[in-house]
Amino acid sequence: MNREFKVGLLVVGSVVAAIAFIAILKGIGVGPRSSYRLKVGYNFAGGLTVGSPVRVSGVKVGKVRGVDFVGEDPSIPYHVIVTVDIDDKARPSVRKNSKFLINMAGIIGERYLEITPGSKDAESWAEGELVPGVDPPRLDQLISQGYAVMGEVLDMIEKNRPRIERMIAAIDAFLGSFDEEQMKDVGSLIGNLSQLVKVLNQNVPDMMKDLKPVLRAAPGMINDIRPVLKDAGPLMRNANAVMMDLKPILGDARPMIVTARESLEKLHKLMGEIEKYNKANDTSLTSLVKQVIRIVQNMDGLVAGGNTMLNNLSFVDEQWIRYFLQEEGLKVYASLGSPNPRYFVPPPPPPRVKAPPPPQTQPAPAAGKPSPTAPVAPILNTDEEQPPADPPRIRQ
Amino acid sequence: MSDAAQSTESSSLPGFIRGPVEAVGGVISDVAEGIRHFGVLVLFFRETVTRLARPPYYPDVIMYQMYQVGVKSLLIAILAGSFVGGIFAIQINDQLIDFGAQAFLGGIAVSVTVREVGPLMIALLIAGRIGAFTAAELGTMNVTEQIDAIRCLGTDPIKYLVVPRFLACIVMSFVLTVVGIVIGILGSAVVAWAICGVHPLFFFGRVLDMVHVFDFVNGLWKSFFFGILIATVCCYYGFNTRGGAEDVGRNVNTTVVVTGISLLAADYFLALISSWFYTLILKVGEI
Amino acid sequence: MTAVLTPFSVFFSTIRNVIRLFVETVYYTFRPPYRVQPILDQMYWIGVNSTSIVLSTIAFVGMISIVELAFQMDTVLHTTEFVPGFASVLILREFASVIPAAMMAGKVGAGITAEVGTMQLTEQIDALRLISINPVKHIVVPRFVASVLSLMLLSCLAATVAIITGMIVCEVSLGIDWQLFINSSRNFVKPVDLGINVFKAFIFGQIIPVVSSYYGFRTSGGAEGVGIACTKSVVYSGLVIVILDFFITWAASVYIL
Repeated sequence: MNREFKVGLLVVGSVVAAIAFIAILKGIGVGPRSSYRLKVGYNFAGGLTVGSPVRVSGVKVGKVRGVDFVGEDPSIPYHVIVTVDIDDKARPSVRKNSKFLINMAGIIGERYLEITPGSKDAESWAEGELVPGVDPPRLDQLISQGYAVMGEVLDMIEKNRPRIERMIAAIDAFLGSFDEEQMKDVGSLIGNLSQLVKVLNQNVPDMMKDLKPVLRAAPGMINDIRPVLKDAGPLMRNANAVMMDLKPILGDARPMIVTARESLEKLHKLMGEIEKYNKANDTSLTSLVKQVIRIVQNMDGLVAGGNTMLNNLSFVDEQWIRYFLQEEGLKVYASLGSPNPRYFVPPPPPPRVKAPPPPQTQPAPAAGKPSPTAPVAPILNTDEEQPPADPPRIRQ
Repeated sequence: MSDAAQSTESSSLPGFIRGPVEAVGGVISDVAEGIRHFGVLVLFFRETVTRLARPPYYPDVIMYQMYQVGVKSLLIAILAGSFVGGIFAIQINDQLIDFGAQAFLGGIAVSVTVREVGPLMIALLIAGRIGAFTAAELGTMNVTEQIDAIRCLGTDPIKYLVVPRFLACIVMSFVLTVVGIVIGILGSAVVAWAICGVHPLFFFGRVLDMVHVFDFVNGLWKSFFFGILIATVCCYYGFNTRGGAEDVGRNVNTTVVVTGISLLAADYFLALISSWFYTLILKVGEI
Repeated sequence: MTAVLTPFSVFFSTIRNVIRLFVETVYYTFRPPYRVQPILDQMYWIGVNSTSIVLSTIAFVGMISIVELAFQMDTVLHTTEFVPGFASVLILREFASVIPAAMMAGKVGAGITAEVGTMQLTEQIDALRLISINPVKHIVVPRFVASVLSLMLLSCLAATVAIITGMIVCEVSLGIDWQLFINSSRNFVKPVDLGINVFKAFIFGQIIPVVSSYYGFRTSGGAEGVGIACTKSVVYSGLVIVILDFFITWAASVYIL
C-alpha cells in the first residue's frame, strides 16, 4: 500500500466514523420525525428547563421547547406555560385524562416531564392545546415542615430533660432504698414511695402540658401532608430515598411517644396498686411485700422505658438532622449553622385540629369505707388543668 | 524584538522611574508588534486561500503532505488519545464519587472529550509535530534560497509549498480529531472499567442523554479552526524567514509560542461562542 | 519477518538508551564537583524564557476550564454551585502541571535539541569527549536541574494564574465573586492537590531535558536533521508526559485519595 492509499483510507475511515458518531448521537432511525406541540400550564415548574426530556410511560418521546411566563392574560389560570414537542408515535397514549407531572430522576437527577398514559377511550389532545399540568410537590417545603416538627419534639425533650432526669433519679432512689433495706424497714420504703408519687404528681402534668402542643400539632401536620402526599404519589415513589430515610426519624419519634405513653400507663397502674393497698391495708406483711415487689417490677419497666426514651433521642440533634439531609444532597445545608438556612421557609402554623382525646382513666372512688384520703388526681387528664391533688395519705 | 525598548541616549529620569516606564513601553510595543503580526497573518491567510482554487494544482505534493501530517501522526494520536481519555476518566470519577453520581461518569467524560479535550489535544499534537517542523523546513528553504529558485522556475511558491501544507493541516486536523475523540472515548471506557469499576454498559448508558450531536459538531469545527490556525502561523513564519540559520531557529521558537497561545485563546473564544449557540439552537430546532 | 520486528526493536532500544541517559544524568547531578553557574544560566534561559508562554497559555486554560465545567455542571446538576471547587481541583491536579510541561516541551525542548544537535553536527560533543569532559555532565546536567526547578516553580505560578483568571470568568459569566469562589473551593481543594501538582512538575521537568538531549545527541544529516530531531523530541517528550501523567493520576487516585 502506497501513500495515497493510506491517506485515502485514513480520510475515508474518519469520515465514516464521524457520520456513525452523529448517527448514534441522534438515535438510530434517523429520519424526519414528526412531532406535535402542546402547551402545559403549571404554577410551579420545579426546575424544568428548555431541553428537558418528555417521557410517556417512562419512554422518552420528546423535549421541552420553552418555559415561559404567561404574563397578563387573565384567561389562563396558570403562571408558567411549558411548551413541549411530543413524537407522533406517542400520540395515542396521551389522552385528556393523562396527567402531566414533573418528576425527578433521583435526588440530584434532572427534571423531566412525565406523562401518564391515558385510558384508551378518552379523547386525544389536539395540536397547540393548553393542558392542565400537575404541580410537583414542594419537596423543600415538605422537608422544612418535617424539620419544624423535629424541632418541636426536640424542644419538648429539652425543656423536660431536668424533669425527666429528676423522675428517673427519684425512681432510682426508691429502688436503691428498697435494695438496701431489703424487707427490714418497710415504713421508709413506703415513705419513699409516697415521695416518688409526689414528685411524679408535680412533674408529669407539666410534662404533659408541653407534650400537648406536639400531640396537637402532629395530626395537623399529618393533615397538611396528606393532600400533598396524595397528589404526589408518583413523586413519592420516585423520591423514596428521601422519604424512606425520613421514616426512621419519624419512626424513632413515634416509639418514643408510645414508650412515654406506656411508661405513663405503667405509672398509672402503680397508682392503682397503691390505691388497692389503701383499700386492703391490713393484710399480712408478706402480701404487702409481694405487692411492693410487683410495684417495683412495674417501675423497672418505667425506668427502662425512660432510659430507652433518652437513648433513642440522644443522637438526634439539629446537627445530625442537617448532616443527614446533607447526605441526601438536599440544599438545606447551604449555610451550616446559620440561623436562616437558604431553603428554610417557616412553615404555616398548622390548623387547629381537635386531637383525639388521650385515654383517660379515673380511678374508682373508694367505695364503702369512708376514707380520709382524697381521690388520686388523674394523671392523664390533659383537657382540664387541675392542680395536683394531695398525695394519698397512707395510714400508718 | 526588544530593540524598540532600548534607548540610545541616557534618559534624565531616575532609575526607579525609568525601569517601570521602559517596561510599560516594552509591553506596549510588544502588544503593537503582536497586532501587526496578527494583521500580517490575516493577509497571508487571504493570499493562501485565494490561491486554493486556482489551477495548477499539485496533487502529489498535497498527498505527500497529507501523508506526512496525518498518517505518520496516527500512532501518536492513538496513544495520546487513549491515555488522555484515561486520565480524564480517573479525574472525573474522583470528583463524582463524592456525590455518588458515578452514573454520570460516562456522559461527562464523553462530553468533555468530544467538546474540549479531543480537539485541543490533537491540535497541540499537530502543532508540536507539524508546526515546528514546517516552520523549520520552510525557513531552511528560504534561507538556502530554494524558494527564490522555485520562483525563478516560474512556479508560484505559495501554491507549491504553502497550499499543500495548509490543506493537509486542515484535513488531517479534522481526521485526527475524529480518531482522537473515538480513541479517547474508548480509552475512558476501558479505564473506567478497569480502574474505576464502572461497567461499560453503565458508562455508556447515559451518554446518549447527555451528549448531543451539537457537542460533536462543536468539537469538529474547533478542530477545523485549529487546523487553519496552525497552518497559517507555521507556514507564515517559515515562509517569511529572512537572514541566516539562527533566524530559522528563532522563527521556530516564535512559531511555537504564537501557536500555543493562539490555540488556547481561540479555544476559549470558540467555547464561548459555542455555548451561546447551544442555547440558541436548543430553543429553535432539533439536535 | 525482520521488517515487522524492526520497529519494536528500535522502540525498545530507544527506551533503553533514554533510560540509560536518564540514570547517567541523575548520577552526574549528585557527583561532585558541582558547577552552580551553568545551572543558574540555564535557569534563566529555561525558566525565565518559558514564563511568558506558560502564563499566557495557562491563563486561557483557567478560563476554558471554567466555561466547560459550567456547561457540564449545568447539564448534570442544574446548578453552578460547585464549578469553582471542581475547576480549582482540576486545575491543580491536572492542568497546572501538564500544560506548562507541554509548552516547555515545545519551546525549551526544541531549543535544547536544536542547541545540542548543532553542537553534535559541528562535532563539539566529540571535542568535549576528547578533552575528557563528560558531555552528559557538561551539557545535560545543568539543563536537567534547571528544568526541574523551573517547572516546579512555574507550575505553582501557573496554578495561581489559572485560578485567578478562572475567578475573573466566574465573576463575569457565572456571577460568583472571588470570595464565594475561594470559600466554596475550600470544600474541594485539599493540600495534597498542590503536592500532586508539584510532584507532577518534578517528574515532567526531568523528562523534557533528558528526551531532548537524547535526540540532540543523535542528530545527523545537517540542518534538516536538526529539524527532524527537534520534532521528534517535542512529540516524544509530550507523549511520555501524557503517559506518565496517566500513571501518576492512577496512583494518586488509588493511594492518596
